Amino acid sequence: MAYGHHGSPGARSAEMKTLFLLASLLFLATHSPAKVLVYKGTSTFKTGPVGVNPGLVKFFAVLDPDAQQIGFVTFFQNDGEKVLQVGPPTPIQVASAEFLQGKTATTISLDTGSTPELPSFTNGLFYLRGTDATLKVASTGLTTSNRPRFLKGFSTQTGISQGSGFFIEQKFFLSYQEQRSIQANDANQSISDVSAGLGQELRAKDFQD
Amino acid sequence: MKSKTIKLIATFSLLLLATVESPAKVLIFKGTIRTKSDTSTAHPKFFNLFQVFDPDTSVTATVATFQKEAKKLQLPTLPSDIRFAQAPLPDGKSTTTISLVIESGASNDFFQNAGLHFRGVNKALRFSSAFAGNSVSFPRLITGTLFNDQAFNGDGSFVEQRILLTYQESRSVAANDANQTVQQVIDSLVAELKIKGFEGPAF
Repeated sequence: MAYGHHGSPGARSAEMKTLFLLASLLFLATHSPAKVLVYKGTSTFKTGPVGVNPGLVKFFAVLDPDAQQIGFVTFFQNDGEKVLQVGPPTPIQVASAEFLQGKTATTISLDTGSTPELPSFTNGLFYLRGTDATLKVASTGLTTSNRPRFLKGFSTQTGISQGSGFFIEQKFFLSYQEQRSIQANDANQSISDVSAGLGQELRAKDFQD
Repeated sequence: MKSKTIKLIATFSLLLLATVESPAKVLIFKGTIRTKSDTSTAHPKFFNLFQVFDPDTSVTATVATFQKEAKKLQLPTLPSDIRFAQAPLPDGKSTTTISLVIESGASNDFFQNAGLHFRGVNKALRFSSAFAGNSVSFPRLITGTLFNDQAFNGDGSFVEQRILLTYQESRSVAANDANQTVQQVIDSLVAELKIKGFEGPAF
């Protein structure tokens, strides 16, 4: 189609319809910024002093890359009790980088420490990385997002508090929960909404705050 | 009789003094770094490393060596602040952690989150030739991770490194006997590596 081309009205109408359809299809196939992505995973701990944290916990992570926030719903067993922790959304940084074989990787990181003023201090890091894939995130509208299906990472904290040294080392492995994410985005839920829903679901299974 | 008793007390005191751990000056480690990074950063996959710690002044410095395009290169760093902490472990043992965090920016387009976390089980390490006060409670083996996650103008990059370090007793004893600072140790290592053909990289 060129500027200044004038065809018959019927031909122009058909052309317009084709262009509109093409544009719609292109629009639908374009990756969409997702609202929330729900992941489920496990975390293992090494600590000193020993016993400060349980050895293994399960958790949901609800990520909103555009709002730069993540929320955690953690559940585990401790001394025979089922324990639930629903955390508020936490600010994070999310970046994409070129990776192997023409793919991209998403990294998620955060400084979790406090201002190092001797003798007390805490240095902490949180870091996740995964290779991007096409994830289905909603039933209608823009339905896919280019983010990792699997995330691996770690968190470390160490320091001195009230004269005593400590360390906590965690390793994470998470996998994308497609159905939960689609449901959440179809309902236009925020991280807090999703976390509250997961909390209710786990309370019904006898996990207690 | 009194003379024998005095000699016994003096010997006992000296032995006691010899076993008392003392604050160390510099502790020299040698090890390896394995790296994963994004493709645009193109970090070398493998480094050898000397790392020098001074727990009393909370300072560390390194000299990394690697090969690039058939050239032997070395990368020394200046002494920088670092944090040490000790925590208890089971069976009466203890561990030392070594950590540092760098943070800047907060948006997804411009930020840097970087840091290191090392840890090892404490042992009695000999650090000088002195008859007394010649050992310190510090790890003989240290493992750890370093990472750097950042974005500049929306372009992300990451570097993930795993480190294994082992204590170099002879080097540390020689350095502390000569009363060297961390910087002086680094300067000596740089000179030694130059003789072995390692040059500083041209930027």
